[in-house]
Amino acid sequence: MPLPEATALGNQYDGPRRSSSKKTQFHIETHDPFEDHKTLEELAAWCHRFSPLVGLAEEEPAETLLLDVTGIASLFGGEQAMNQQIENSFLQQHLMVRIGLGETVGAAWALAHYSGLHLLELPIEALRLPPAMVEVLNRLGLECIGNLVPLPRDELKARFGAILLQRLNQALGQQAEIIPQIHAPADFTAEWTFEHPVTQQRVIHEVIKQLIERLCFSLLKQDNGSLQLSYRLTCQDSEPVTFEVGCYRPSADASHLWKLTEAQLERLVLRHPVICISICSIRYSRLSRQQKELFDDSHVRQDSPLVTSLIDRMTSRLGRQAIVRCILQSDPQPEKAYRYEPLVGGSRSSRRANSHSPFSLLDRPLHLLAKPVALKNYAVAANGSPSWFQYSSEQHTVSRHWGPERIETGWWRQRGVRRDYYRVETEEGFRFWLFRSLQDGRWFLHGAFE
Amino acid sequence: MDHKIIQLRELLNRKESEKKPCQSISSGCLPLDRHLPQQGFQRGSLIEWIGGGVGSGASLLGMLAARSACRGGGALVLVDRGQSFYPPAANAYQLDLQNTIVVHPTTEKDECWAIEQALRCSDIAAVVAWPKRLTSNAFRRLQLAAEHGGSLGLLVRPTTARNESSWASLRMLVSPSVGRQGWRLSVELLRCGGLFGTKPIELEIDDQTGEVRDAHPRPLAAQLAGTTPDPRKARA
Repeated sequence: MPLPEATALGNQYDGPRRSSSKKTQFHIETHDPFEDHKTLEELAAWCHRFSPLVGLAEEEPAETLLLDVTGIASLFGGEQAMNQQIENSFLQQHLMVRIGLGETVGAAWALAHYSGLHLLELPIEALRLPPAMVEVLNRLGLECIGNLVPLPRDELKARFGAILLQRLNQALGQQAEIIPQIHAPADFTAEWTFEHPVTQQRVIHEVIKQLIERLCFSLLKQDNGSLQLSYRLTCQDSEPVTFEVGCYRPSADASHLWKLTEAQLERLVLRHPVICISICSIRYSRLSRQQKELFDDSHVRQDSPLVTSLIDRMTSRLGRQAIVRCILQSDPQPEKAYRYEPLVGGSRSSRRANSHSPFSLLDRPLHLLAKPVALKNYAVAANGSPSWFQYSSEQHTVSRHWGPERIETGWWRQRGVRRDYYRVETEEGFRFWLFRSLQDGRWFLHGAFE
Repeated sequence: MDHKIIQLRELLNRKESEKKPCQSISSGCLPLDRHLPQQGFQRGSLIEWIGGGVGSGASLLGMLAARSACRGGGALVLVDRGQSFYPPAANAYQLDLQNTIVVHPTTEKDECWAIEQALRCSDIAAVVAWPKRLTSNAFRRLQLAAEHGGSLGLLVRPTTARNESSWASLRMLVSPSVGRQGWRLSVELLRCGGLFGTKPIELEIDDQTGEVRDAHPRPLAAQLAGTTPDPRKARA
């Protein structure tokens, strides 16, 4: 949910308390699509208690859980009781859900997203169509699903493409739709209980090695590789020690997983004897196999096994957030013109081809300060450009400058920017990137052409 | 005396070429290539640029070399402990950001470890890093890692590193100056396989086009006639 909407919702809940002039303090977290998807997958796995077939709807971002409840409502005492039980179970986990029960996946999705008693009365949007198509249909006066039913199917297909007909047929049960299944968590767990509490690191390492081998064997049997391993070391008279190991690509290679684990174990301090060690592959996926090229392709990319292994090793030691890829954003504000995304666990769909840069080599500095540094001592020439400035106790006299390049953006954010940027060259030839804030007239250093 | 120096230079060049396979990568700027023994950098070696301070242009030359190294295939690793690397600028250098791995270590030890690991990986074309301090042992480890993996280690160091020992096969001091048509960078070869005491190379980067050219080009007639002796030919 975007921040303004979330704030409005918070204020709405805050309503009754406003009289006491006390406002809710919001806790703001950055949206992490990877964590979001991961949590939804975990919820899907948890939902196997209600249905043997659970999946996530194919939408971006995924936000709908699909449960095949054919023939099982009677086990819960009827459809209404089943819905109530599912809703209550989610509420116990502090999660609000909207449940739609339908004859087909499409109908259930529509009823969960749009309120109504009958599928045909629901708006066209409930058919999971692209917004542009919905707009066109609305303009033609087709506002609810019922309006589409009497229309000739061939003409619908010819005019709007196969997707409209497919979605309509799927909703009405005239075309099959498969639930992309999330499997119940397989038992990719290995555990070792010691007869006596153990303190020797050598023994602990040896046991972990054996457990990894055992886990890899069961993963390989199902052609799976682990993406994330969770370790739990139960200690005597103390809280268990837990840590996780992530992989860039699914792996069932025991020696590789051991190397990643070893990097974590090096940093682990065990203050109490260990009585039990358990390893669980909490995220796994099909092992990807790559056909070898007939002719050796020298163009090695990030998908090469050696690079994958390097990414895993570095992530294991430095953390997921430390190994990243750059994604350029089309935002004119310099500090928002890019973002970093972790390579391990990052969404692959957000990969964007490098667009042609609108800048030439010396338009932007290679080093940008995390936060612009306010200049305390400086002088400005008659034409508005800086004539000298002091940075880190050194005085720099400007001999040439390029600019101003006005960047005025971000008005939709709470704090927009209005800046005049100058590229300056000092008498010694050093080049810097300065700007004058048009809001308060102060000068800042934002980068250096290193 | 001159004869002895030439003999020593030849001996050094021969030893260098025996040690490493003769695979050179362009430095990314032709005027600099012309002054280097193998018309570029050797794969599996460390290249060190010592910048004359903030805003000196040393990283710029590092990025041009990284771009050149990645053209032959392989990924690029940027070990950026200061977290100041600005990707949109790198995009202007035509670096393939899709094929670039950025590492943000938090400690000096982790930074050194990350550089070493990346250099050891033979599918990495180049590693760019800005280490402020490197002990002789750590530097030697990096050199061995580069030799092992065959990657190019491009290290951009602060001025204080000039007096420290180095295991880089090529060490350059970059200092800027004011150019008439662009940004002028003076590159002094502090260490370069058998070449000692050479004159600084003056490069000029065009402000409009970003083209890197020799600040003092030889006259065209002299180039065509080949009247000015080429330093490489003199060595051969």
